[in-house]
Amino acid sequence: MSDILGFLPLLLKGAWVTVEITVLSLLIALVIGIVFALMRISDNIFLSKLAGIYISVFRGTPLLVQLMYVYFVLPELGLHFSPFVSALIGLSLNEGAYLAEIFRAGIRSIGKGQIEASYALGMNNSMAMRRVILPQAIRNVLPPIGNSAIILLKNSSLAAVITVSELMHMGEQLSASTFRNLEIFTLVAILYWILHYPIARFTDSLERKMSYDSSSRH
Amino acid sequence: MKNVKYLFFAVAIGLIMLLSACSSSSSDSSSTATSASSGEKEKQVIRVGATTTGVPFTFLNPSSQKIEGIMVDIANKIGEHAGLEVEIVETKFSSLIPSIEANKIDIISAGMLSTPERAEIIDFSTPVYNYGETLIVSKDNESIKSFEDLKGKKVGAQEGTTFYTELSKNSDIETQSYKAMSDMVVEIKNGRIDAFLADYPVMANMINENPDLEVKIIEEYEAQWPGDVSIGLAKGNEELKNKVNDAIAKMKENGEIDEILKKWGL
Repeated sequence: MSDILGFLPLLLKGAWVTVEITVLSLLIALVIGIVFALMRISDNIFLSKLAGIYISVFRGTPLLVQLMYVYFVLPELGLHFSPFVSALIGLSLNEGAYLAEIFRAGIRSIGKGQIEASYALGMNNSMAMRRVILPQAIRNVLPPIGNSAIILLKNSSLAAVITVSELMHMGEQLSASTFRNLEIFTLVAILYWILHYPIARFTDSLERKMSYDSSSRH
Repeated sequence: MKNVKYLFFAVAIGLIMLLSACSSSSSDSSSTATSASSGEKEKQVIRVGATTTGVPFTFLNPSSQKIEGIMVDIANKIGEHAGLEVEIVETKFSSLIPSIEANKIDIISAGMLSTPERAEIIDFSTPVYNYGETLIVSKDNESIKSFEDLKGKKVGAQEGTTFYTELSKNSDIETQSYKAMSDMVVEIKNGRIDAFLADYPVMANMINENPDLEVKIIEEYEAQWPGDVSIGLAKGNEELKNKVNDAIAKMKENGEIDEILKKWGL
């Protein structure tokens, strides 16, 4: 028991790094996602193709490969990033590609009639997007985004290969020095579960609030 | 509608925080770069790649929360003699050589044996000390006693190690690679492998500390690939190589290496 308490401080340190990576890359990925979703559905063929290539590349290659690429290959091209920043770049580009598709699906889920009605009311494209389409689209995509955020939290464990001392990496290091796999990886699993819980609750409550918001308007 | 605005607002705030965090960290790194280049008073920093493979080579000590061990002590002493400040960068063993190539670390101090294959990609210092591998089997296994007994058996080794490379050259042995020695101990218990090869000092220490582990060392096993542990360096960095070699020579002369090995029970 005292051993387990001895492992906790280091595992908690790792858990904090996991939280930092997850939250920061989720925020960046949300911006990337919405920008590339809008590019993908835009009438500009160049932008649409560019977004298509980005999504295809980052959904079509393993995250592990992307992380290794950012950390080990980019330096040969003269781009040096610290392990933490490399993890942020890899995770947010990967997550951004998935979120872009989620946002695009959300925007497409709003009937064409709505945008035509917005034009009829004299709105231009961007105003219609901001005031009519996106508010409804984002509400529709909250559950898949929450889902994706939870996957991101767990994917952050892959940052261990590029020497980021997040939760999983701490667990591996402790098990290498003490051989107490059972205790250590049970603790690691519990900590990941605890970390996922607020994300799950947050999306739940956000979803409830936003659906209430729209029903009161109609 | 309002809530959507709040959501964007929250994202925007988050991004601003992120940007400020990035800019502060980049100013940190630039300040260390200037202090390192400005020079004579400030010690130059040397980034040392180390792998937490286990006690006593290199390991994360749960009570001190620091990376400790023989290779860490040796790196620190080398730094002391060469007038360099040592910064330990924990790196997976299979990532050590890529890290040197990508200029993420300056030297490798990880119980790495100098082999001709590795020497094609990186440089090695003069040898620091030597050791070999050992054979580990389940406590109740009486049939495996020597390397010859491994024929037709499933044998594990840590990925990226000499043992794994050499072992997999034997077509009559089924070789499996693992990330950590602790994984292989569990695999023996689970019956998925019959034996594994690993660093003798680490396993000896581990079995001493944990008598309840259900594995044993074959004491009469003769190491097949004993080798010299050397410090790894990037190719062509002669200045650093000379400094490291001078430091190692001094440490051998005044007995500091023996002292470190003794301290960790080797």
